[in-house]
Amino acid sequence: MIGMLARAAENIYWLGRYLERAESAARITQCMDQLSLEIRGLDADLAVNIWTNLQDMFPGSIVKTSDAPSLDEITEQSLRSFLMSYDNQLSVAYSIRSARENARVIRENLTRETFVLLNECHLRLQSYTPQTGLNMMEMRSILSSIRQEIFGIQGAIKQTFTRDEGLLFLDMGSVMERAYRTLLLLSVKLPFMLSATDQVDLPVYYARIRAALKAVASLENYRRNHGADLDPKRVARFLLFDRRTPHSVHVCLRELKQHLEELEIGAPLTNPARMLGKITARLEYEEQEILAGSNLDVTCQKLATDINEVHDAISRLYFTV
Amino acid sequence: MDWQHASQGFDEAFTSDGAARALYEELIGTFNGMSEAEIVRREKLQEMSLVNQGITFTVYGKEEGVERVFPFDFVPRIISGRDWSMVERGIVQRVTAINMYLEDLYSEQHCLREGIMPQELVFGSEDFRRELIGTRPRHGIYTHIVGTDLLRDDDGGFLVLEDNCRNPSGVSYVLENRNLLFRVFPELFNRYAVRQVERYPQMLLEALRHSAPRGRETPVVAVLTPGIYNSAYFEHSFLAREMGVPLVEGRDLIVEDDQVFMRTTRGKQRVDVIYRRIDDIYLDPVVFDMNSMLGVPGLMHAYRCGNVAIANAPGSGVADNKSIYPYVPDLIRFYLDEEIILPQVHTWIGRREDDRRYISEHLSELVVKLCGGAGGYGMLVGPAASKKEIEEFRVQFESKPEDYIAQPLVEFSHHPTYTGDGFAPRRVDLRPFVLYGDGIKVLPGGLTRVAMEEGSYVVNSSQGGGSKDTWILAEQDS
Repeated sequence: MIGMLARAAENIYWLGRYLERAESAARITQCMDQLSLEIRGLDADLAVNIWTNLQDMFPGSIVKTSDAPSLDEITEQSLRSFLMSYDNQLSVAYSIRSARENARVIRENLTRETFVLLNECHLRLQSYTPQTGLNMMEMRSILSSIRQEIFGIQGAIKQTFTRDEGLLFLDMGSVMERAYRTLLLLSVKLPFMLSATDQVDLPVYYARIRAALKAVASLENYRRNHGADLDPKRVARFLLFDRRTPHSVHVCLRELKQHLEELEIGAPLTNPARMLGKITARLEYEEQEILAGSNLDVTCQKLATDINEVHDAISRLYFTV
Repeated sequence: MDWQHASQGFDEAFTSDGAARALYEELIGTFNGMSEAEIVRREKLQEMSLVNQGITFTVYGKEEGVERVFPFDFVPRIISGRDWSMVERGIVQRVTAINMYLEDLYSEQHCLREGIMPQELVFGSEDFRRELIGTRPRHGIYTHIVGTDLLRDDDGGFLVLEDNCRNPSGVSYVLENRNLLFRVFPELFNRYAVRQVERYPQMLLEALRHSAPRGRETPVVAVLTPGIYNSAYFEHSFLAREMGVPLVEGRDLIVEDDQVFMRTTRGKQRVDVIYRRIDDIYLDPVVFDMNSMLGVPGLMHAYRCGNVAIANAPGSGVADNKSIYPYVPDLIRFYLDEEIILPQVHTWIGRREDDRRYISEHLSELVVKLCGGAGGYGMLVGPAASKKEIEEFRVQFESKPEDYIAQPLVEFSHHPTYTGDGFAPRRVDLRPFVLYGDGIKVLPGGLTRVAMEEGSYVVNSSQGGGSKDTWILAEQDS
């Protein structure tokens, strides 16, 4: 069997990551915006903090504001930065441009439908220059439609790609990014979620838990499983250990493991598979201990670091021949 | 809609009294049956389609890697089956002779010994690869892919302007233009039996596989590109995708035990045929340019050992150096004992003292070209140049006259082209593509390049030219 060109595999893996990152950035920004709108009348300071939280969920992101920005200013600048700034390397526009660059490098490995949809999405975002002068309503509307476009691209991939190594690497990039984003979100949101409820404003508290679930596209899935009862521990367990919701860490890592196994059918265990096996085994057998631990947010951060190490191992094994 | 016809040169669609030629009557009638608004709408659709599909080329200049859309004019060019048959025969003759010349040059060198080709022209050429004397590619084929540039003279006869035997580009636009026209103006095809061009990738793959080293039953083919910033990257990627083969860069390849491997997710995999889209000098830093970051160390040794085929074969460029062009009729006589089928343009050679003087004295009347140049770079179109441009060019020319050739300004034929407010004549040339595998095959079509600006002679994509779909009609309809 002829393997895939290592450079092409790397590009297609990153294409998967960047597409997922773009959709995550759009989705999480949308959710934080809605949450900020929802609570601004109840707790204006918290509404500002929501935007600071967003930057914590995307470490390395840049939002240019004055020293003590008003809520309107930080809202507008955050929307602008996470939607269309090319200075913010975690913005939707930056991620789509990067995905499109990866796609252009390995265009021969993609289907025409995929490239055209991705190119259209990139060109649309590129047309929103700082001079375009979009207002907040327009940016909100674009965030929604861009998510639909990204789903369209991901749909084209699922519908048209050959079921081969290329798709495996693309999916690996995608689930790796998804697991990482869920863990970062949990590490930022868990401290307030697990704080004592007698010390907080309950409507705001539950709005924030709902937003956290929506930010990882899991609110409806959670309700289907557990009803409307937003018990914080149950939410944490759901996002870490649920076996069906696609953004749970368990599902992402299980899929990653399956892809790695499929790449190496019949071959001895590879280093990334071994590393991932250790992480998933720990999650499998130590679920109760993990959830009972006092620093679950720190555990999530540590898991995010472990996942990055698996990424490095994949890179060394498959992309650096 | 308003149709203007050309006041000078051959107008391919209209006679001198303004009547539509028989080949074009149906086409013009179809456009005339559409409202102006409909044509504008479809042109917008076509532009949008080119942008969204990323059918681009990269422009070299201030900003590295700026992508531009290659403008497409939707009025197709029609060539009758009878005319094409002559073009086809002429090109096959030319490519046959050029290959025999290359094989001879890198072996016995009869053409030099018998004075058919001046020795200084060959040995003084930077495209001649001394290192490859005695290395014969499989089947003796050097030019697996050739693009021959043609013009039509004042009577509509075809003239050869130049041969491109290194890395002729543009075939991706031939295929994409056809796709685009099918989608945007499907009704144009109703009354014409247009020969298909879609088989090109399959034909190319067959030709490449034919060149594979002996004993390799299912040869692995790869397209070698300089990378994403190359002007023709879209085409490299397009051809790899259409053939279903990997697109590799130099850094993806490695030579071990005189064999070429690519770095894959499953370790090293052998490569048998490389369709290279990089120039000879960048192929292997061990043999050619030691600073090349694009090539593969050891590649030429693997090639000389017969373990990998390279298309076009290294050293082929010596046949398309513009100073060789005037000798092609002699080569055809020498190797084939035939007279040239497709005539060519009279050419003065800078290295001949008489010619040099003539060129220098007539710069304002001539088209002067750099022998190893391509893409319209390093070229002077005398009649269209300002005095200042001519004087600046004179300095370049006089410093190295042996690097130049000159030709009279041949009037290009004109073809109706949509200008945004009607159809006006614009100058066109034609690049048919030829594949040499198990026989020589000419793609029934080609890249028609068009000078989009009124009065312009510049058809190169890099300098504002556009392209058209080229229809070769099946014999019965011609």
